[in-house]
Amino acid sequence: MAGVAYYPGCSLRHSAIEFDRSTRIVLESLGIDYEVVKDWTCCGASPAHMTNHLLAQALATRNLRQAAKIGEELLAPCPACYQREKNAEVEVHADADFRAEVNEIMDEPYTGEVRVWSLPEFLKEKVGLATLAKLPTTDLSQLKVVPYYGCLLARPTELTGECDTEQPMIMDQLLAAAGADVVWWNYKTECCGASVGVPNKIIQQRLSEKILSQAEEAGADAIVAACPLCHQNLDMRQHQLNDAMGTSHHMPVLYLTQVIGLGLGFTVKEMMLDKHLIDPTPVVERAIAKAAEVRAEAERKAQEAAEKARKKAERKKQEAKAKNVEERE
Amino acid sequence: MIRYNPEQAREYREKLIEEVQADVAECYQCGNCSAGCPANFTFDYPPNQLMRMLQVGLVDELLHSKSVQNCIQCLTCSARCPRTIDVAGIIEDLKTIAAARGIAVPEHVETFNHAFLKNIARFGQLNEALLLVRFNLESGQPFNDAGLGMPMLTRGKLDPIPRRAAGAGEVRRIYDKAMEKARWQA
Amino acid sequence: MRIGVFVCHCGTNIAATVDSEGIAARAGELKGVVHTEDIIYTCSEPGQQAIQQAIREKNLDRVVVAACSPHMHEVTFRRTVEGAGLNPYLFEMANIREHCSWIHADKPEGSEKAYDLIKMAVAKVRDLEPLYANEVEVNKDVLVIGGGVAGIQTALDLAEAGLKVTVVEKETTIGGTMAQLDKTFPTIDCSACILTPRMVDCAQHENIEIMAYSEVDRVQGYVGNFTVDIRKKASMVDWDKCIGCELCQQKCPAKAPDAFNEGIATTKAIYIPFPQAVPKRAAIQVDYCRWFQEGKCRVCERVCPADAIDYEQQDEYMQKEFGAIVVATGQDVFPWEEYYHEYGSGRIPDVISGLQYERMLNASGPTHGHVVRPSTMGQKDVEPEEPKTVVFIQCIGSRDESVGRPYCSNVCCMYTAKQAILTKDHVGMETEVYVFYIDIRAFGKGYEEFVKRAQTEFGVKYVRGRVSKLYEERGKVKVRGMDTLLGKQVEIDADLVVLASGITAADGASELAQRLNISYDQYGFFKESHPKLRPLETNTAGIFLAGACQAPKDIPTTVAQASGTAAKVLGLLAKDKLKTSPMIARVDQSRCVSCWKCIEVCPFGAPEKEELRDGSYKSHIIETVCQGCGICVATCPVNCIDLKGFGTQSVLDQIEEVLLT
Repeated sequence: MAGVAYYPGCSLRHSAIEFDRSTRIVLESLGIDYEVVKDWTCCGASPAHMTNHLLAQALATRNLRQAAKIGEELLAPCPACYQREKNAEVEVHADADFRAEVNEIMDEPYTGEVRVWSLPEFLKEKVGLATLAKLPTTDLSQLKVVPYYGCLLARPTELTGECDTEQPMIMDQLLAAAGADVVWWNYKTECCGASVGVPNKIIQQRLSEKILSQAEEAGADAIVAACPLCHQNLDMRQHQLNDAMGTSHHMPVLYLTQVIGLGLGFTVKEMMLDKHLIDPTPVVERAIAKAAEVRAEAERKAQEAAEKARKKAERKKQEAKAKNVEERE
Repeated sequence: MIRYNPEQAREYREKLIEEVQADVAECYQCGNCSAGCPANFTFDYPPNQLMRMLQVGLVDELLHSKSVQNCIQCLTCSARCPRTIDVAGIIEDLKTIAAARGIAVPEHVETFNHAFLKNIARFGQLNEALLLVRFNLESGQPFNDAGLGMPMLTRGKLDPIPRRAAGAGEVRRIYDKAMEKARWQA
Repeated sequence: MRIGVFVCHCGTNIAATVDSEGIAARAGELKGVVHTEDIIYTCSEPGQQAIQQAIREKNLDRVVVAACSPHMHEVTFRRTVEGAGLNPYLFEMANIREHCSWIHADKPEGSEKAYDLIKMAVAKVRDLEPLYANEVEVNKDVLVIGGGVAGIQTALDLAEAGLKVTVVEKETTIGGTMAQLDKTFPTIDCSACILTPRMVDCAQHENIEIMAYSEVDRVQGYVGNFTVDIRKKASMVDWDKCIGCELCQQKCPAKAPDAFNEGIATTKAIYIPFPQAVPKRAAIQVDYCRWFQEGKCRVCERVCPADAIDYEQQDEYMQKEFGAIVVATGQDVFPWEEYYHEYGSGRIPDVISGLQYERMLNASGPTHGHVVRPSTMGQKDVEPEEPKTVVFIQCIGSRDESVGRPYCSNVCCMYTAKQAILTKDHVGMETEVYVFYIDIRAFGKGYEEFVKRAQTEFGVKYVRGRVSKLYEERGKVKVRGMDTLLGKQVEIDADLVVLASGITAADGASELAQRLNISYDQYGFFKESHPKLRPLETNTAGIFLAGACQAPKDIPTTVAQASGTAAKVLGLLAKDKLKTSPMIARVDQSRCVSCWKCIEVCPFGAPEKEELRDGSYKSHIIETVCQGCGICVATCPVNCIDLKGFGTQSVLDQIEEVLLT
């Protein structure tokens, strides 16, 4: 059994390849053993569960079955795939009759008990915040980020393992452990429009534009997302949205694992920042440079203070000596 | 003037309690779901009115509504309902009923979903390029998202060559069997 | 033995599914039964008279009434029986209504079961012996816990009636929540103006002793004879010397949180909550005092003209005795910041709670009654800005299962209407004021008219629908709500948003309830004995309730309830001696093995170790304390404790009767 089963999902193959790459690099760097699910297929995402319940659960369960061949745990970085797989896990494991119904329409039955993880939860539980906090070698303390959870990493709390649907915290904690400056904002979980960006653009544009505005209002350098569809709506469609709505946003959107990877010392190239349509490289490089400046300034001040203290101690010594001489006389 | 439909009201109330564990009778029409719904501005009936229609049995009208089609399942309504009713779950169930009955609603969402499912039934894993092409054709918007094509291709984010994944056959079979069963049950 | 059995029809309540007539006749077959009768309404006057007549004519010495639950009419029938000269404890009720006719539909089956129940009652009544109530001396002093308007009203009523009252209040001043309010609905009376005279009356009344900054640590004893441990907290100020001049507060350099102003202002480490405080004495918040935290300062000591500061002061402990206790500990406001994260978790400065807004509206509050945007307060060179658009949102922490508060808080619709009117009054009629609501609850006298005033005379716009989200954008608070009457989502750019936070139980309520041995519900509100018929008493004899600690309520209801509670207390203490129920436990000391398990398990402290003449110690039940719960009876390992009127043997006899005959 080779560690956790890794389920990339359709988006991570091409349109969100930087999410896949950065996640794998981070997992490897943190010593997590993983193996890609053999012959995985699409989880069905939104179209399946909006068309037919059995279809949706069966498409997802097929992947659970494939994952069971590797081990008892499945990691699905894409939150939509995560929710689909988790939903199937919960229903199929609890309801034997339903499992039978699902097994009937698959080629091979699912008999396992695979536990499905979301990416933030996985990193927090398997690596741990304290451990993660010790590892960063690149100083990201001047990179102001707002964590954007979207819909599916926060709701419902029974499936996501988050503490609250309005103020989830796991991404905040991971980003803080990676050394970034996490800025508080009130738009963590407002929907970006999801898959409606293709068939009904106007909904997606309005919603995504609001998120970009609020990130600017909060003073962020970049938004951090952990969902390929949110990323697509906010990054890939940012120019489109600007054109349609007459706005002029320029807000880079980074993936959670890209930020962690940068903190761990990987380069901008390795984290594939060039894949984004809104290039985050300038903002990241600026932040790293500023952090170096701030450190240098702090060091200089510390040296000054040390010098002052030394001089003061020296002076006191002189005064004490003089007093001694006086008293003797 | 309308007339309520108590039989449909009773039938759907019980159905939803069983399938979604949500009881429409608990809704006190506070409107929180509608207030927070990001897609509300494209709905013909806001979510609280959907709940009201279910309460009084105006189900057929509901199934033909734009609201049921356009809901993006962001789950905000369910998260904020003060009576903890799974409103999104109710709408999802209505979507599947509408789909099973083949109800034609002039919204591109159904077209998109259909194109998506046909795509994965063929390839096992989604082929985004082909999905876009098919959707654009079927919805009569040939130049939809055309501007994104180049940037995605040059960044290696689009794979123009259609490939069948190893499990594609099974996906096809799952799809056919599930849809057959749905048609039979509708 | 001459037993009379009376079977009730209760109209059709019983007779519809139980053949009352038939089983009454059958009951004549039972051993010892010399009279049977079926009555349509036994509790009515003719019904009771019939029983009394039968007792006299047939010389009955035991009576069984088969009717409703003893909870309903056991007391009634005991009195009936006593009225005919029979000991009231030679009586038993068979519940053939709640336990039989109301839950069965098959008449023959129901009747058979009812007959079995009557058989059991007759078997028990054969075992009963006459019992005589005990009398206990009563202390006429009363303890009122809580000095809000409820506590004040009760205390004044009792004091006027000549009783000595001690009011224990945990803050440094009495007044409670009402002292924080600006104006009260529906009259728009100034709250402090109508309350402070009462507060002063309390302080000056010869029969009232106010123990402020004190808490009840322990309660022992029983009705008529409570022994209470009271702790006077160390205020670090000698209240016999302090004259309330407020100089210390003026000069103190250390800022501290201001609970009276609900956190919209700060006060000093040494403080007097408000100018009309009663008693008006200073206290030090030790966590914020520089002397206690850093060992520096002591400015207050230097400036105090009365030399009242005492940094060495300790908590004082005292024990007092009372005959009755009134709990009037009030309420707290729902902490919305911990639940409604969609409204900004308290981090958006222009989103505040109703009580915070009340302090802002109050002329003696931190803004002297000026309504300003909190985001513009406290900044150098920036004049605080008045809001042009104010949005109120009702039902925050009320009618909301998702935050564990499904109940309605009673007062929010009214106080929101009041605050909306005051907003228009303070800021100007051209201010846009919106109220988002689900329903408007204006049930009291003059309340509906008051809300109408808000809508018509003052032009407040009521929007039916909730608000899903609040967020900041370009200096405004965006309110994303729903107008369900129009069927449209609505977005308003507000300058100030006031959340009508609901009422929750006071902090520490459940701990106090445990100390007092009274019940409380899942929200921390204290349980009344019966919600309709006994709303002022608890199930613990001698302890009464007044005010919001029992359930959220407005001021008129609170004051009415408080006076009612005073009447209840007077009724209890009007007698010099109290009768206690004789259906209590009794120890057969000849078999007691002194294991003291009974003392361990008794929730009331009734069993005690009694020294016998031979020097041995045996358990003895204090008759006036025992509540007859039976826990000791069940616990005693040698079965030497029995319950009078509910003896173990009688239970066994009942079981035998129904199974073996």
